[in-house]
Amino acid sequence: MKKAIKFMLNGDPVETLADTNVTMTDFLRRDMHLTGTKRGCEEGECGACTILLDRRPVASCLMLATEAEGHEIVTIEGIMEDGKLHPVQRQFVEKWALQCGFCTPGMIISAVALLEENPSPTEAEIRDAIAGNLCRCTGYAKIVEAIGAAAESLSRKVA
Amino acid sequence: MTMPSFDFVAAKSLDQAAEMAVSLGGKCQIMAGGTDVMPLLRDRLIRPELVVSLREIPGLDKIEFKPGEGLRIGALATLDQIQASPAVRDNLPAVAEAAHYVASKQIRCKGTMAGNICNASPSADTACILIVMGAKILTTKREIQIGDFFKGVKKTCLEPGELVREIFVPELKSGEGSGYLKHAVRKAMDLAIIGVASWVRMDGQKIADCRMAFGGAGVTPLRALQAEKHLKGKTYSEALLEEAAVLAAADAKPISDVRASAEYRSDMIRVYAKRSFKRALETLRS
Amino acid sequence: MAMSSKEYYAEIEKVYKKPEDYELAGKGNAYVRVDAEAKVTGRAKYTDDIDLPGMWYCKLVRSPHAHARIKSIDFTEALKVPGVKGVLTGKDFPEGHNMGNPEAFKELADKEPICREIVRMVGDEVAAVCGVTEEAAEEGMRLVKVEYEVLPAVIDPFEAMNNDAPYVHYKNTNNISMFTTMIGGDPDKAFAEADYTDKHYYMTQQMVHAAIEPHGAAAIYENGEWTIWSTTQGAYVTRFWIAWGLGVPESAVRVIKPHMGGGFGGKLDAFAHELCPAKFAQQLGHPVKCILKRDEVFLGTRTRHPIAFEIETAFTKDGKLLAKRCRHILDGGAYGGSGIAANALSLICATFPYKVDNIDMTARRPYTNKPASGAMRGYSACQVHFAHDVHIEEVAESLGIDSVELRRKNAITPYYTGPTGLQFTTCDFDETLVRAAEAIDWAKRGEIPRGSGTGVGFAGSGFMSGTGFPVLVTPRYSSSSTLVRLNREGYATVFSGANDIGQGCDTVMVMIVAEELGLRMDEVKIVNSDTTLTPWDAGSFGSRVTFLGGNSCRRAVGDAKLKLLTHWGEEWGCKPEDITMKDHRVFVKGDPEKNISYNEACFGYEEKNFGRCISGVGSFAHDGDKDIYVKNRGNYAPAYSFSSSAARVEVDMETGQIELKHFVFAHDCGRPLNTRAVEGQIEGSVLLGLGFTCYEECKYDKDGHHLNPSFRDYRFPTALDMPSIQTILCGKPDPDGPMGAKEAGEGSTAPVGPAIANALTYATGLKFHRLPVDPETIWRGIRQKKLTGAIDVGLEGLEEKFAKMPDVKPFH
Repeated sequence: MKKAIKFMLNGDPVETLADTNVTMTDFLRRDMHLTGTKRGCEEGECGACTILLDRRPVASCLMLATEAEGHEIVTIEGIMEDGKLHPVQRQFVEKWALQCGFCTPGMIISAVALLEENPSPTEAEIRDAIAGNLCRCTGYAKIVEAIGAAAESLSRKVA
Repeated sequence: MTMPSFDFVAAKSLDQAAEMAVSLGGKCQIMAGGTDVMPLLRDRLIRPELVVSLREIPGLDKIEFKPGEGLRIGALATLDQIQASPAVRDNLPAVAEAAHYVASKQIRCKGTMAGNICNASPSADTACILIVMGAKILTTKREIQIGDFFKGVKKTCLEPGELVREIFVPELKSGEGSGYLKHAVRKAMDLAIIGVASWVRMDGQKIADCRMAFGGAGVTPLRALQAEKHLKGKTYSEALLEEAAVLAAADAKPISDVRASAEYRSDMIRVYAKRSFKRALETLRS
Repeated sequence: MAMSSKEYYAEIEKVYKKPEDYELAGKGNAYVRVDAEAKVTGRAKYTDDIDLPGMWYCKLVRSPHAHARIKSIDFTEALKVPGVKGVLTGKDFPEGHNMGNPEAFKELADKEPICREIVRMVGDEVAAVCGVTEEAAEEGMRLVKVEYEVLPAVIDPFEAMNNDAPYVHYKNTNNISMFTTMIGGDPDKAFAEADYTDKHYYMTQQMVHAAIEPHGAAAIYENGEWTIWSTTQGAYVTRFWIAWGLGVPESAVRVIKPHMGGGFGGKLDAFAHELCPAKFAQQLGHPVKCILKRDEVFLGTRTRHPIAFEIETAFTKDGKLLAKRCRHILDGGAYGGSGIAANALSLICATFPYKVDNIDMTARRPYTNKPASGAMRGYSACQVHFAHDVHIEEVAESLGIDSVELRRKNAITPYYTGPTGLQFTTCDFDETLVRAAEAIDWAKRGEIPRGSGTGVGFAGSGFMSGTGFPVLVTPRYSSSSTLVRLNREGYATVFSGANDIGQGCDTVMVMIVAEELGLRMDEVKIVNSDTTLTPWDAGSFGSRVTFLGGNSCRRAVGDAKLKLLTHWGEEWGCKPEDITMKDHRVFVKGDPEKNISYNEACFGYEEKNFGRCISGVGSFAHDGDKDIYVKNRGNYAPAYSFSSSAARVEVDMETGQIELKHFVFAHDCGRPLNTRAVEGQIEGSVLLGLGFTCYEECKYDKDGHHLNPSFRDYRFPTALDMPSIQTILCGKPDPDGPMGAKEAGEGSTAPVGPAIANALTYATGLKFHRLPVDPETIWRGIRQKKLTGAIDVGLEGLEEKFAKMPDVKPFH
């Protein structure tokens, strides 16, 4: 079964048919060809599929594609600004805050959402914000460092 | 993730959703945030023909605090909104904390408190605090005392087609405090081994009234009635609280499973009965 | 003796860049990962991201029983599902072509691509279904009716060894898949003469790799040839087994490793999810993809061996370790695969980082009807160092010697040869011990009362820096090969067989080439892990990639560089080693006449060589004894890393809740090629070690059903659970390592568990013999101590189980 849906995807309007029983993760990957959103556990436990729904981080594997109707979705592919890396992305690169990179898109989405909500988070707040993003490679240390550095660079930009 | 075929409708109103639920019965699945429903669909534990989303119904995500009355939480308010709401944090901090205990940010940004209680997991993080606060569940049909709401594992007293509209939590009055503490192995993303909530009204050093409830140690969240009785009307002391905590553990009916043994759960009820009660004392309203 | 590879390549070393000229190697922020931008933008393509026109999907039907005979398989209903296009059973693959891991032990290969008659674990593959969509394949998979005759299963490894136990594979073998013995010196004499002897028992649990990317593969079949993209840690080894499983020549199969979302040892073996889409692609003429669900990864891939230990040691009264006797029982699960190396590794690991000249050690690996155990990061080392280092702590206490002092007293020193023939080279173990102790304020540990809930713990370990083992049969144990081509347009291309599974070896190879040629890293292009395009490499395991692959890469670029500089030496009348390559220039220092660009240098070479471009070939192998894996004597690796770690914990003595507050890790990895990369490996190791020690365990019911095959119930640490981590890099550049480096990926996992366990012991006043130590375990221990005074936790029946083991003759 399919339903027509209309929503904003990474800043652009999308009008298409979506299977009624497809998750947002699979819809993005299969129908929209946006494979940056990853399938790690498909039960909301790992965070690799995190996207922004109306600028809030959600697990796209626990969302139906049809729920996007009338809403704004941002995936990792929509995080760059004017063709340049977002400060969070840049700090992940510079601080070696990734290894295998499979959790990275979801981790970056969570970090971007955090900094929009709380521009100067404490380390504890950073850790809390990414507690739903499992990483098996890094021990999170460099990720926490990168998010802190991104917060600083963003606040400098504002000031 | 593949799911069996079903149709999808975003309801325009609660009444419309209720109507569909009544007319289709078991073939219809109501979904708010969907964070509990989606895994059930995937695992084919439910096979509805129609999934009805409540998310687009206007006006159901309100979080309002009225001094002199209490807090009204719309059925679609997400756990994240509840946790972050100044109205909740300032007036009912334990409710905000309980909401924060649920899973992860990603889940809380979509999942709702109404969904958390309708899912009726025995260890639901928000259930215990609502119970000790004497919350009321307003549905499309009636007002239900939270104490009557849970009927078993994944079972509530809701009738077919009856949907939650709002959760009402009475305010903390002067001399009252409440707390909820969860015991889990990880600090996030973990189901509670047990959780205990306490509410207390103090009159100087005397415990004028109190309520205590625990989750994860019975088929529903349960009141620690013996413990409450033991505490009520007495002057607070550590020794008294320890005695009450032992009684709370005695009220627990835990099981052993992959997360913890029954005896560990019982003893943790004892420990967290004390800690949550102390937490309530720390947060007394002036 | 024949010429060593080092001698063979000696000429090339003359043109290697001198350490004092390094601009990239050894620094932290001098460069970034070559794949970082692709990964932060979501553009990096992983196996599941491969989406080809007309692609179909494969799902596997798995056994619900731990042990059963397949009586019949009925596909009638499955084939009625619209979009279901085909099905497979074990009979679609050539009989006897079982999957294993080392080619030299092919007779031990015991895993049918799909089970033909007997299933040996819950999750064993019984059939495969192909559908035009993932949904159709899944609906079809759910409708396959399989009739089983349930057979008695054996879940406990000790029970499996009983004479009357049901047999998992072979009758009259006591289910033992491997039995390994290592003896050295005169242990009986040493025990007789010792002042102090001690015997203890330990047990570790089954854990899983839990790479966030699930296993999967995508296959196409065109022109009589397969191309298979797979989540593999070794494209060449996977290609070998896929070809064998399909019964076709290796030349008919091309394996490509896309970006990998972690491996940790779990993606070394070949699996049904690679063979089935390949078979379907051939039969149905469509590309076919098969990606496992998370529960399938738990059930159907690999786990870390649970090991039961009996350890007996002999010491002098002043703490010198004289001898060690031990018996290791490794729960092998249902299959061999990469798991058959576990026995030997477990014994080798028991012989260092502390000197012990007299040993009598055996390891048995019984089969059980559980998911197969295999390689996992810190292979055997994590379990062995947990048991053996907790044991050291206990001995220190009994002898009244400070445990760090006891470790220092027995620590391996440079160029020591171990009792089984391990030839240690550079070793700064002592420095790691001293610096980790300083950083955790070890001297003041005594001020914390024992059993107060606060504890500090310590542990040491070592690991092979580049296991020599190449898995497949290769000439002179060739382990890793690389090609480098210099392009006159101003860049170089490195064709590297090394398999980047996330650890960052692509970056290492690019850095080495850029450093040697004086190019920017973005002027070095990498082609990686593709059996058609890149040369042979054994894979990512055994902490071998930086050491072996890095050396191979450096020899390849050295080979090219020597050709180029020999040419210009002749032109300029100087020796090749007098010429410097830096900042995209080729020049003789201080001579402006002899200074040209990299492009001009390459152009000039080609001009004189009839247009032939410059290319270099390099290979690196551990010059070891080929028979080490049969004889269990000899040197295992070209170098060894050493580490010490220290943990500070707080325990809630009422609930048993554990908080790891701080962790110190001192690692001798030679010259780190990038300090941030090494720190990243160590920080990740602390996560793995914390999970191993306190959180993670696969649980089963008595019938062998997995009770927690999900990330909800199998928990590993979140960002909130991790401590602050201090990394201390120790040691000096290793003369044989690439630019002086030794390993940092696996050795870093080994001492984490015992440091935490020893800290928990101090904090609680209990002694933990079994992992994981979770809050309930501690709570139980505290209660037991109050009731009976007993402080040993987790010993239940272990001694008796060892005592009752039947006698079996060693083999393999």
